[in-house]
Amino acid sequence: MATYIVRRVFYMIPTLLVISFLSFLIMQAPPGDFLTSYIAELSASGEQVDLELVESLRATYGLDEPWYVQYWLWISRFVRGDFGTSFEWNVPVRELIGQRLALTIFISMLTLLFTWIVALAIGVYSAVYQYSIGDYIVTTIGFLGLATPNFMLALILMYIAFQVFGISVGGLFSPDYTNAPWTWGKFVDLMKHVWIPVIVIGTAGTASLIRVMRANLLDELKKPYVVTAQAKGVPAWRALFKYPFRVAINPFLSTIGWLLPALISGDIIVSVVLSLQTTGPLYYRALLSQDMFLAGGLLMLLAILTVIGTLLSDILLAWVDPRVRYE
Amino acid sequence: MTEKSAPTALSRAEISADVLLELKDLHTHFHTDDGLVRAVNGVDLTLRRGRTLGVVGESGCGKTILSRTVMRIVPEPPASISGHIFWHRQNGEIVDLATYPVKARQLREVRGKEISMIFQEPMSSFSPIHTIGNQIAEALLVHERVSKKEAQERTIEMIGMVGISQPDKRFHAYPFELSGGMRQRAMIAMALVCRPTLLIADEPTTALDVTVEAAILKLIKSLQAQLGMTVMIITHDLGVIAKMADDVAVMYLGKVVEQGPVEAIFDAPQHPYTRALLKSMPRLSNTGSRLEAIRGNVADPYTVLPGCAFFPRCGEGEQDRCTAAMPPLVEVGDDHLVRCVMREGVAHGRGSG
Amino acid sequence: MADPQVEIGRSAPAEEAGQTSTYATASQWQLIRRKFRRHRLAVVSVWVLVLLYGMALFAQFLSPHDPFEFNDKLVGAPPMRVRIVEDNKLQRPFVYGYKRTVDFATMRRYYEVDPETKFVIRFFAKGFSYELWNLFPTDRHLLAAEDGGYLHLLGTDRLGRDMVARILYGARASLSIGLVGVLISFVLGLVIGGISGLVGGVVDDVIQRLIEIIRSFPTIPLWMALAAIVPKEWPQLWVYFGITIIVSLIGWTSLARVVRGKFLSLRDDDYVVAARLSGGGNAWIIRKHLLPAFASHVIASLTLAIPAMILAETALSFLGLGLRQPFISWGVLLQEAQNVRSVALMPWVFTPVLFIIVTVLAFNFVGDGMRDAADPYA
Ligand SMILES: Nc1ncnc2c1ncn2[C@@H]1O[C@H](COP(=O)(O)OP(=O)(O)OP(=O)(O)O)[C@@H](O)[C@H]1O
Ligand SMILES: [Mg+2]
Repeated sequence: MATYIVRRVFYMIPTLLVISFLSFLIMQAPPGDFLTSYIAELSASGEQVDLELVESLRATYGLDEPWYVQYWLWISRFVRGDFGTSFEWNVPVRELIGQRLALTIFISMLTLLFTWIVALAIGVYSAVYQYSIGDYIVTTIGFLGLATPNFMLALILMYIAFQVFGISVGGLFSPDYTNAPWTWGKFVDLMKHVWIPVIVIGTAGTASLIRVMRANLLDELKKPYVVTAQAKGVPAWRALFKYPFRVAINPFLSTIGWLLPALISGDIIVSVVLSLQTTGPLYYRALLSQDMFLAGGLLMLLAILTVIGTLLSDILLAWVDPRVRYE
Repeated sequence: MTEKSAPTALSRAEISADVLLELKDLHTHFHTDDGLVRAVNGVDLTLRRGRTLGVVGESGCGKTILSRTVMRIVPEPPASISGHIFWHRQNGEIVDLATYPVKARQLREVRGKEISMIFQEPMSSFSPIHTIGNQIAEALLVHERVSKKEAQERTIEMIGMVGISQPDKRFHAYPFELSGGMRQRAMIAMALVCRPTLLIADEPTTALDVTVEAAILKLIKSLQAQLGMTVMIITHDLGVIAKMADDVAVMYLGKVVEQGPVEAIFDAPQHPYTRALLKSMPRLSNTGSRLEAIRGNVADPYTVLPGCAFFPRCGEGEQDRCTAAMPPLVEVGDDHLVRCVMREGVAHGRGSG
Repeated sequence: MADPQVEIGRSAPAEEAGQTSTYATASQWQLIRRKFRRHRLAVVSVWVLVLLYGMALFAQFLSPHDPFEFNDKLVGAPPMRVRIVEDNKLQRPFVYGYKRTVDFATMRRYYEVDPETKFVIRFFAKGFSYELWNLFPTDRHLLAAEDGGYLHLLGTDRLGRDMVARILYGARASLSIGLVGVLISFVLGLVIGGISGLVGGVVDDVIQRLIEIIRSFPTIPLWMALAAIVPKEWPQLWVYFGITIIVSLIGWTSLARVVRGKFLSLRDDDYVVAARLSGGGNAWIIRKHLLPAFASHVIASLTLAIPAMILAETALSFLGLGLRQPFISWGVLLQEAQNVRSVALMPWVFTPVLFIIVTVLAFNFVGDGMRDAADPYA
């Protein structure tokens, strides 16, 4: 097990390298270096350009050097937790990201939990009662969930929440709490707001996971070892949950690999619509205003998040499935 | 009594106390999208205590479904079962396993405890993610009030009994860590850990190579002697029958067409199908001559013609007599029954009983 | 030496086996088609898609109004209902116009059906002029209101443009992006996956790792970043292709996996080995055995990749990072529907969503059907 984990962590290094490289590439992609466009923008809006600051930045990030030096300067700072400065906000990227990243992680984890629990329960139900009315209903809803664009669902739920429950959604906190320090009350307030994004972000993933779980379980239910269990006189529920369910859940765990990127993607777009205080709107604004340090840094962090999530899911998988562990 | 009449009377069972399992007019029909599959289509069969019954027949004739019907673990799609499965318990009680609903507690108590089964594919018949020991001990935990520790001890003892070395270590092994032969031994251990009265072995050696096959068969035989079990062994290999069985039942398209003591079947086969089967078996004595394949293929299970199902492939029959109606089972010797109109004349003891 | 376990009855004569094998390969496509037909939802979906693409193809002909024409009398008007009965008498199909009242306090417009203004619907009527596929200049339309009338069957948007026309025009961009994108993905996936599967070894390892890495990126942020790079000054058509390429840049990875996997598994598939043993040449093997199974798998994956691309375009355009006004796509149309207010006040501007959902569902069902049919023996 330990060797497996070590090997998997080791595997991450090239992944992270490539990710950082791609992020850097995207940062560099807009024509001209970002400082030039920054200056151009400032001049255009008639603001004072602090030439001294510009010069120091130019030196810090080696903008006159070849690209690999620039990359090195950027990444070596990044590793130390210095993500650069946002030109738009004129503060270190790190300060901007802090709480928002935490909220993104929080929402993503919550959504993952939601997705799993719902998909597991429904997936098992519709596999065990294959072709029942319930199975058909669930499948239909699942397909609709897959096909409806996230942001649309967000709008519809917001509308329903407003019409039916009278909650003005949008944001993660009520106005009273938005800038308040963390208290129990603030947390409760957060939980009151968080369900809409969780459902919205989770729907597409849940829909496809239900199908994965259903298909897996149906496959497993046909396996001879299920008959073996029956032949031993094991009660039906035990024959279901001890064996096929346990086996079917493994490929299910490995879906984290694509579920997590999808969740973070979903979070970005939904939080723009719902104006949540997560990384989404920040990233969106950064892209629109070509605030490339902020955008590149965020992109990189989001990618790292998914890589870590995938690693955790792999470890989890190895823990429950001896075949992976021994391999 | 020549004809097996309506399965109401328990007369035979009452007469012979050594009867363990009695199947009467047993049917298992699958309702598939393509039509009705009569996998088991009117089987009458008796198993006696301590003996070994071999069931032979071509692929698809319903051997597996027959054995699964006895334990009531018939696979999907929904099947309808009719007829009787009289199970004679140790305490003299006789229950009809065919009457319980599939999920009945009574059935669960029989499965794995009184009747056990070993399967054709030792690999896929084990869950890949649980240890061998866990899976074997489960039968004990389900059926007997034992502690985990006791279950483990008895499991390890059983693993040793089936000839696996280092049983306490193998207890913690996963199925993929064992060889095919080992897995089949583990499977036998799983089936026998509760000391059942009847062991059903469905082609226990088909997936194994010849040397391992011999060892496994020997193991089953010695365990049978040790534990005093009755064995029902299913195969399409007459060689296995010759080695193992006391009695033989020959199946064709869901029906038993001939049954009797192994010597009678081998020396004086009555049904044309049995004879054809025997001719197609390689023997040391006739290595020079060509093996004969039975003409044609097993008919498709959807269409049912009146009369003897083997007639289209049979060289001996007469159109009118054979296709008129399903031939009854006639007794042609001691406990030797055959379902063929051509034998009705030679039957002895007609009308007796 | 005699096999100790002769399988009785399975010993069919050899020449018979040879015959059935040619028969089986000749009919593999037929088998696939037959199996596909059994998937009823998939068959219906094929027709739905034909209909949708037909709509895109004949958008100009089918539109009763110019999608860029502002109707300042009917700004944000609800859908008009087609009627055939007036004064208890059967009539030619017609619609009523609207009477508008404005609440100046809230600046809300209210529309009331106005039985005084009646527009009869004419078939193959004259309307705005256009060049069908840039080839045939004409001004005929399938449906149009009588001279000077309006026919807004799905209402109008915030600026009084006809939703039917805009949805039809939007279909051209949204539906074609899926196809063009999947084509690009297909080429990339086929080449890269093919190399990976055929060359194997280190190359295979590197490519597989790369694919894994790309897949671990959250797609939307990546798309957004790439889309944000597309210069704002670009002409519309360039932007369109730029977005298409961006959308397909992610899609190829799954396809490459499918291609590679198929190459690997087909290489040692039993029936290929059997064909080789029975003396078939390589080309013959590929044509008879590899191609049908392979092609149907690839088609299935392609079909399943299209909806993701359509949704991606929608999302990007919705965020204002994709296609932009005045270009019309379903995503662009939904920019109108950015907030809860519009859901409440003008729900009909959301109709493009229905089209998106139907399209995505149809592609999913067709893809599912294809995938099932791709294994005709399963
Ligand atoms: N789940 C099922 N659904 C429908 N038909 C079935 C099912 N299982 C078996 N059958 C049919 O029942 C008949 C008997 O099958 P069975 O598996 O008992 O044959 P068998 O004698 O055990 O053959 P083999 O020697 O190949 O194991 C066959 O015609 C088979 O096609
Ligand atoms: Mg069988």
